[in-house]
Amino acid sequence: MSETTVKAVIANFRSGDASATEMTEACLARCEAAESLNSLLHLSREAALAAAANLDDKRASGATLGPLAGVPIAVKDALCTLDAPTTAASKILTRDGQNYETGWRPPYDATVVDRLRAADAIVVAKANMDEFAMGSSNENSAFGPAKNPWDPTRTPGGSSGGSAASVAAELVPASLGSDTGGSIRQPAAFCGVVGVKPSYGRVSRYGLIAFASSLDQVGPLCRTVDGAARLLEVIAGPDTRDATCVESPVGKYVEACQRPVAGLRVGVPREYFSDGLDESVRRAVETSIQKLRDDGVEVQEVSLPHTNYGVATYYLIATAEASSNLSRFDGVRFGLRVERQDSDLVAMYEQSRGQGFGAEVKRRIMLGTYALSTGFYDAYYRKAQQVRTLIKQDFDQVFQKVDVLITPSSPTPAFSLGEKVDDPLQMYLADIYTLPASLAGVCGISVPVGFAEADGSQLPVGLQILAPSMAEETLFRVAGACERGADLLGQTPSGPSA
Amino acid sequence: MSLAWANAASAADGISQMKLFAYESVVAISKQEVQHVAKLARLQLSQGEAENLTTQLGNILDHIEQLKQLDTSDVEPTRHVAVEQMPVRPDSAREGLPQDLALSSAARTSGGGFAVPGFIEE
Repeated sequence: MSETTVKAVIANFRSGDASATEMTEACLARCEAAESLNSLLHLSREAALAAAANLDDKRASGATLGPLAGVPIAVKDALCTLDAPTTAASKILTRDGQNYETGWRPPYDATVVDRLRAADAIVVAKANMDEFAMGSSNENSAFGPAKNPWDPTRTPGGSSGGSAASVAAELVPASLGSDTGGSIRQPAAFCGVVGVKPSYGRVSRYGLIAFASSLDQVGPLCRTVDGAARLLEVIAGPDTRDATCVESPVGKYVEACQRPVAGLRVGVPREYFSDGLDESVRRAVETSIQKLRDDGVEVQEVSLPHTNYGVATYYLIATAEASSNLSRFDGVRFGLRVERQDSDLVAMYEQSRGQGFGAEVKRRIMLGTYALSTGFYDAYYRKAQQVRTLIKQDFDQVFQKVDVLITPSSPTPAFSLGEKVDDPLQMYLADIYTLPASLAGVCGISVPVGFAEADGSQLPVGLQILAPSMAEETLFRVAGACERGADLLGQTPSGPSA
Repeated sequence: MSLAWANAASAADGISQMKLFAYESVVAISKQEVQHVAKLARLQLSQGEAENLTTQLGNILDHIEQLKQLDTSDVEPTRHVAVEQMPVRPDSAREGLPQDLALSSAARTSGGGFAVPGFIEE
């Protein structure tokens, strides 16, 4: 199973050692065998095999192959795909309000999906997720939770839980997720894979079902830093269909992974290393930082004083934006419509949304609507936007002194299924280390650096690196060094169990 | 009796130790407010959902109260983090989504449009 890195798959295909059809068949077989993990909602069997056959012809003809030629990829079900249902793991995007098979069929591919296909990657599956990307455990999916391949009684994290689990279980070498408050970085940490949240504006959001428009970013999850860099090079860059996707040129991320780090300045923010941080997570991260010192990096303690206002700020801004974005799900143009004999228009809206949305989604819509409503707007939404400025300034100031920040990705390793579902606030507080970076718009990566022991299970620990907005090259440079220092590539979960 | 998570340490001490207290929510959201917000959000809630939300939103708003600790009187709100000005494109026509494709996902269509029940002006 060691030939499952993105780099290895590309090499095997180009050399002729494997055909795209063989690799795609093998991938689909692995996905089917791992159904109990519930990491994938849909396999695009026919479309993937057709693409693979075309790619084999293309290679035979001697035409130039794209940079991801032959790589099978799963994409989070929040991303629009022409050849597969797209539901954001919600019943409201199913015709019958119940079954995934009746899921909405988009009339277009998301830009990132377009770019993957243009790079000759093979989109094989839609990955499970928390409904509308709202959650930190994949337990809010309308189609059942995904499980952590390292311990199936535990969550893979969320909201890109399926994207992380499918890569960790080696079903696919790469996946796309989305990150609004940590939804790539945290599941990457829980599942022992690499996950990147690009800078806000780095990757087009066209075709990503929107949760919070000033926070959402699409990013790659892979077993290696190199793989993530290859995917980001393909999907990043300006897009005329997304006005928030900025003109900044895409860097050489793959090359950056190998660059030495001697002389770089690393900041360790004290607020991320205080009470509430699991001891084994702390140890794994500190060991990794020590190895960077051995590589010639300069480490200093810094402060991001507004860190613990992150949860409150995020849960006002993100929910306000979500309440606006999710108003389009009203039964009129797509998805579930509940329309009875006696329905008037308002009843149709209320019943379609009442039946179609899950509990967490309703909670966030309610909170966001409240925060924006007359009489509360200034005290809540506007206040949160002001605190957001303070949080962003913390990062701006600290990045004048250091090149990157290093923190744990999550205060604990993966928690158990059911452990936090009854207390929404406790679930929110688990994202304390990932939220501030989203509010500031900076780029971040989670890299697996060790393990924690819990109830006899070995659980992955992720280290988070944060770099200034548009500085992904620096991010990958440090990430590559952390990955080499941790030397974990041989370790994989024993395999998905029932 | 309602249970709520609360911060036990102040902001300057970094990540707070979360402790469990049993007390009445300081910031309660009333059932009437919940019903009003549900109406604004066009969400039909069951009795049970409305009750749960009243408690849960109260707890969350309690946590959010801490933002009042910060003096933001001189702070500009952040509306966007990367976009400084709205990019423009040339004013030339481009291919859009064809009408039939746009209508293809709808539950009911009529006369080239989306058919919906009537509504009464409130």
